[in-house]
Amino acid sequence: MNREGPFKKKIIKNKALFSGCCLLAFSAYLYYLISQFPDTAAEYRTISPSFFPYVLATVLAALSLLLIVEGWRAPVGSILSLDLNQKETYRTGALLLILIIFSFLLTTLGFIVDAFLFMVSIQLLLGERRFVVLIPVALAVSLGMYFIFATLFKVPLPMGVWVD
Amino acid sequence: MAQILTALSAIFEFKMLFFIFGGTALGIAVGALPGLSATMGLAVVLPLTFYMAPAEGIIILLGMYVGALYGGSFSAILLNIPGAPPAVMTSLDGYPMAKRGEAGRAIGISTLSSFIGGILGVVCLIIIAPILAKFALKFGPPEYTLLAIFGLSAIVAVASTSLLNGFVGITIGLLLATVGMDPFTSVPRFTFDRPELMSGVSYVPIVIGMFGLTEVLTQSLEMSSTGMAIQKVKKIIPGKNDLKKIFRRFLPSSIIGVLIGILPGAGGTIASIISYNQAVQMSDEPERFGSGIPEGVIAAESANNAEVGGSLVPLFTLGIPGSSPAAILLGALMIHNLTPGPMLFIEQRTLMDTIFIALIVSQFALLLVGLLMAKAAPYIISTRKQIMLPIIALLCVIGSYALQNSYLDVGIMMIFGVVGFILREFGIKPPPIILGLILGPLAENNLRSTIEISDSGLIVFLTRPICVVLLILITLVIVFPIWQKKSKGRKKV
Repeated sequence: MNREGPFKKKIIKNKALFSGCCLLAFSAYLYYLISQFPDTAAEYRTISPSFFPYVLATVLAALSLLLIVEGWRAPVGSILSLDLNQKETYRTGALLLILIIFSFLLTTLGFIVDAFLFMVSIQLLLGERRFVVLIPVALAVSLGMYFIFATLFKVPLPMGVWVD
Repeated sequence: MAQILTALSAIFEFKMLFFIFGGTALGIAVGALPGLSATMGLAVVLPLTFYMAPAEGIIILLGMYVGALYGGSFSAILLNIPGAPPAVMTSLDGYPMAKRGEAGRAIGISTLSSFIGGILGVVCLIIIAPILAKFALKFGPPEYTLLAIFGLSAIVAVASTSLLNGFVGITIGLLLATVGMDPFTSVPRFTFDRPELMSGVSYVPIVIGMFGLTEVLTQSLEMSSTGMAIQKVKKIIPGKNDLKKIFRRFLPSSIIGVLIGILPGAGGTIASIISYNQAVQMSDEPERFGSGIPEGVIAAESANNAEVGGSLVPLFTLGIPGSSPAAILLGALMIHNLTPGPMLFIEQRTLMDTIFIALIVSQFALLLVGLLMAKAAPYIISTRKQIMLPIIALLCVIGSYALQNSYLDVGIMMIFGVVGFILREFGIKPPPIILGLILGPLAENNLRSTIEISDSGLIVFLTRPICVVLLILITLVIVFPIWQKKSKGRKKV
């Protein structure tokens, strides 16, 4: 039995319809935000600071309506090209998660250690299993990048808890 | 004359030559790797230039730009996979040549064609830019408003598969540009009471996120290798017959490249497509194109490298990028507090002379480094994604962090990397968003100035001759693709 309501089915009919509805809702939110702008000093200017944002929000709302019309006329299609049943989708999610963790640990572990662990973990995630490749590449990249950024370009990179 | 001599002496210092040759070599490697693009390479290297002198930073990026457009021909010829989008036409004749065992010949022809086309593009830049800059002195707020709108419309019309999605992208970019304190009244807009957002959203992390991280996430979905046997590269230097063909063919292709490059948003891909089609039409044997003839490679490569010079004309003179990589270069100018426009040629004459000379030297670097790297091309393009993707991801994080030693920038980069990935799913591509972000202040500030100082309000756009011309161009740029699409639909029926 199809548990989706008719309204939900129509909104997710295809990408254009779905994105049009999302953008229309976003435009409405923008109108609310713009209405909250302080209006001090605006009276001294011909054009208030909310003029341009209102123009843009209106343009976005109009474009959303056009997308909705386009989506309504178009045939049914998938919303996402991503297949949530495929491991590749989760692999991409894991890559992003590791990147976030790596960024959080940058100050604690220092650039060289953090970058080394990052390179090893991402290469493993993406399917590299040969340790004769994994370790030397991770070492070369982390040390090489440190040399280029910190020594050549004098970018102050975190050294971590290892260095006072 | 004294400024030119100063510029020459600056260029021929070891450090500058290292940056020119190094940037070009890096660009060739980036361009050669399928999946990487000139825009992505420039976006990731951009924050490093913050730590350099303006001339050095811009020169290294220009070297990368020049190298990347040429480097795409390596994998186009050897694998039939364009390393950079502009190399798509190169593969039509380059790959058949490689299949016949003439990979080295194809790469040699590509190298020389890119060199000659690139030199012509730079010569056109040196001649046209100062003239256009003088003309731009007549521009006032109304002209700059319409110029910004023209630049935005052009990139939508040319660079987007869907006009609607392109305009959505631009609107999002323009909205992002309004975040921060209003320049006229200091009223905070979309800051959510966060002091970090008072000066607006930082452009560089957004660029790195949308061009760098988005690409990494997209590519990680498809990890298969090419699985193709790669040709060995032999006999690279073109013979006498090939040299004759190059000199016969390069001029029309290069001129097309320069003219297309001047159009905002067009870029090397459009230049090489139009040049290739023109070469087919002008040829006595059009049926031979696509079977592996040098003329096809020459037409594509001359145009896409001549486009570099063309795309820099509107960038330096008007602040309107002629291509996506030129948009990144605009970011570099902004990082170094250089405002593109006519005053750049007056106040920074020595810098501009240095850049022009560096561009010419980059073409020689392309010739030398390209021929040297040609033998190593099979090894460069077979770099595995398992190694390439984490390096790019690491560069995205470090590049964002390095700008202001700020984790906020890293966070912005990641957010926009994910946002770019999601928007791409819905057909909204990064270039219109980034251009909206860059040109937003130009459009808004000049529009508001126009309305405030003009007695006739918006009618002023119809009373000034340059404005009328720009309005006509904007109309043509928007209407032409719609008309083209409708007439294609009618032909199919």
